[in-house]
Amino acid sequence: MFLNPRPTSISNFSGSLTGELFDMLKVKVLEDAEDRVSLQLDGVDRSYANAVRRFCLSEVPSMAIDDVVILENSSVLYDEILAHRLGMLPLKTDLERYILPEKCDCGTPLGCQKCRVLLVLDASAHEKTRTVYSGDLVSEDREISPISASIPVVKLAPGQTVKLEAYARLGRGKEHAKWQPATVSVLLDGKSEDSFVLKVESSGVLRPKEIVTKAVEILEEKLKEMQKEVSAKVE
Amino acid sequence: MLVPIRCFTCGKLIGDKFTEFESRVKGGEDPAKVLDEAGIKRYCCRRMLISSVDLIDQVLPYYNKKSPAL
Repeated sequence: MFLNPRPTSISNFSGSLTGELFDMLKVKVLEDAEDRVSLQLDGVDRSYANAVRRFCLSEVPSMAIDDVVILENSSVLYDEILAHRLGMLPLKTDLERYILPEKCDCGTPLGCQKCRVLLVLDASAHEKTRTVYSGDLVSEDREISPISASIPVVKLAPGQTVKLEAYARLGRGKEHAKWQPATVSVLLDGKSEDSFVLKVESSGVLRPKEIVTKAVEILEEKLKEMQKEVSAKVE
Repeated sequence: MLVPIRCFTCGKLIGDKFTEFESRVKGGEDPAKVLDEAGIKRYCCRRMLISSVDLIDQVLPYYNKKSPAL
């Protein structure tokens, strides 16, 4: 089975940088599971394959809680620990509907409908000790919520309350690991010199295939930008 | 205090599997078997659950409705 024998995003690239590099490009899917994908790349330069691998970790954006406004916190966890735990929650990401805050023109510190999602948490324990789970967070966008509803966020003793607003944004893994869409992204040697196996395991926020295609897309964008810069300077 | 949400090393989500892991291991099951069934393969993720202790449970009893907020 062949997945995009010649990904359009690569062959559309008109620069001479990659001109003849991909004549023999072949991508074979070795494994295609819910959380991982394994691709055999033939006829690709090692540096290009490695760039794609790195981009899966550090350049593909994903959604994570970034700013937390704590209205009330009488739990035993400090505000910053609570905020850090919220930040680590993997959120289902939709790259079509949201843009990176730095690319948004709203200019507001907390963002707008295009660049952030608001999640609200209001939980108290009354009679018994209560565990607050990720599923207790109420998101303003139903599609953007924690990938699992059973992640413990905090435990409350009777009488304790946690009330907060959390702002989730798109971000990149190079800024903070919470924005890394892939947990594992490795490049193994294949059978010949220009054959490699790219294994990507998703953290669950994006489909593994989506991570790889997005990585290629971003790399292409960057190369185009570089080509533009270089040709402007050389001419 | 509480189970970490992600594996410190690779970032895989492990927090949601702790409750089941803890109760099954306390019930006498082999931790290795429980981890295998939860799909936790790498040793970086496995040590997260094996070595985690919810200390928050030891702190919570000292708080009650009458104690002033800190």
